[in-house]
Amino acid sequence: MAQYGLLIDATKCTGCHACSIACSQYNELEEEVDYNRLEFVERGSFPNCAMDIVPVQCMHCDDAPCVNVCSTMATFQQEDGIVGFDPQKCTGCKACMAACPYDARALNEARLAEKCRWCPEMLQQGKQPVCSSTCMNEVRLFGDLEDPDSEINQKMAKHEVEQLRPDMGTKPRIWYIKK
Amino acid sequence: MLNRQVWIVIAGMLVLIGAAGIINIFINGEHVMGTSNYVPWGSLIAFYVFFVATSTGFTFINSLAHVFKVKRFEFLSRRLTLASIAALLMGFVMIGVELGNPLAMVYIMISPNFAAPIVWMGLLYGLYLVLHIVEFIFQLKNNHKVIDIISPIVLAVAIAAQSMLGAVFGMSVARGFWNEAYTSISFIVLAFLSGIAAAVILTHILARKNVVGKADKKAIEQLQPVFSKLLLGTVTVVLFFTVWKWIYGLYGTMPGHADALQLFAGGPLTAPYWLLEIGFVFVVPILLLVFMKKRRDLALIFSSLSLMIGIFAMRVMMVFAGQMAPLQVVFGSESAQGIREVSILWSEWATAGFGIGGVILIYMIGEKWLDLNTASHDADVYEQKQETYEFAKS
Ligand code: SF4
Ligand code: SF4
Repeated sequence: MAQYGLLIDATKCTGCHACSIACSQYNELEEEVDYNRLEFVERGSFPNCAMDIVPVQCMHCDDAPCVNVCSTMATFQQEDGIVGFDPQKCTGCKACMAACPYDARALNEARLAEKCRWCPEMLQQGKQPVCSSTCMNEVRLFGDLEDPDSEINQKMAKHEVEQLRPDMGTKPRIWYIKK
Repeated sequence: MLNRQVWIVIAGMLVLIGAAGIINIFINGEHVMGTSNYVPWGSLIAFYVFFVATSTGFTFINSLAHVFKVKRFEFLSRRLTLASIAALLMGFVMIGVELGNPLAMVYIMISPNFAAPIVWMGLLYGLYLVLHIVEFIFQLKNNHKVIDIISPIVLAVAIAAQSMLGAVFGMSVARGFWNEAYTSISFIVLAFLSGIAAAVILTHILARKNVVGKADKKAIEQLQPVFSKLLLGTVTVVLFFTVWKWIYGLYGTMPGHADALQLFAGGPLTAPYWLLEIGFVFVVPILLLVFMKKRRDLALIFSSLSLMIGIFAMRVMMVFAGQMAPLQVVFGSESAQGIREVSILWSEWATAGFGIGGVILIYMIGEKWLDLNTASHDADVYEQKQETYEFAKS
């Protein structure tokens, strides 16, 4: 069974928001809901300054606090490592939102705590999630971590990588190439 | 002191306005609540904690008679149990409105995740309600054999449920302000405090309005020094927890924890924190109970009222503070600066009012239709009282 993960090369991100827009369109998200966002970090002081852009979304944590706290298993770990969400079972208790260290979930009009599911329909067709396939700069490389020859593993071997808030102990499935 | 009709009118109005707020929340969802994706748990969660903790507190006081055999509390048993059930039911209303989904309980039953503290909390509070009702029925039947068996179980389940509620917050690793091993313990202590304060208010009204007979009035009077010591002792323990929370927060500078304390030290929660939590929960009760010994009845009732208001606010601030400091998802990012906005909108206040009015109404219905005068376990301690008791007409 493939084990999915994502490698993000944020140094190439232009901040065009194409990933967020593609995600919102694909998932038909309501106005105030997004699964994919960009965080901006300023470095230095004017005029010697720069802006880092960090794409953030559900990290599909291996040890996901949202899975642990979900009373109905509406949020659950799939065999392929993706943290899935079954809206049918969601009670709207928002425990997952309080527990997620990445602010990765959003409540929709139906009071369901939605999140990125890594586009299961696309994966079934052997395609990439829409955020990855949309990105013009190939910032996002989605792939199988189990396959040693996969592109994601090859690229990961060539670069130093890091994760967001590893101190939370969540073991995210998203890595970032270090600057 | 207000007469019975006025109590009914006030409680009825609270329930009616509350019902309007609840309907508004059911129709418009989170749009009419002060929550957001960044602050998902709002005031209704705090109100839920307040009501179920008060219920647990009533059970603690009740257990003094039936579990720890402190006979002087026995005459209050039925009334405390009824008040506890009423508070518990209103707690369930709060969480029901927060979930806004009647099928939620069904999903939890058919697909439970036993690793989730919420499942255990739900199971334990459900069991607590059932056992409490059974206990009450046997109290009304005056069957001490069964009461003696069931009361320790009710107490154990109440403690387990309350500590599990603490764990719902305490196990949230992302929220530094909540994520502590002693969150569960401090929940139990605070529940005990709200139980004592609520019991003082209840007994004060019972005595002042001649709801109880002369012997019980005397017994209530005799309980005053005990209540006074219990209040003072428990306030001191809560103060101890609070002081250590500050020391750990400031010394450890743990993300989330220290940031939340900043909200109290110079942020948007500073005024309510120092006035309602420090003032109403610690300063006012301690001053009254220590320096007003000559008018202990007044010291008790005013410190208890102050405590109930303060604890209510404390619950709200605890829920808010854990989420208002932004999560440091990406250190130094724009979204990690500032403070997350949160508020309590009218529908939420109205829902809290529904809870308060509901507790008063349920209790008054019980007082009217049931015989709440406990026949003593031990005839030597209290005589069986056969007077007819009723609320005084004004
Ligand atoms: S990032 Fe948040 S929502 Fe996604 S798996 Fe981790 S804890 Fe769950
Ligand atoms: S809001 Fe839904 S998905 Fe999240 S913990 Fe509650 S039931 Fe699970």
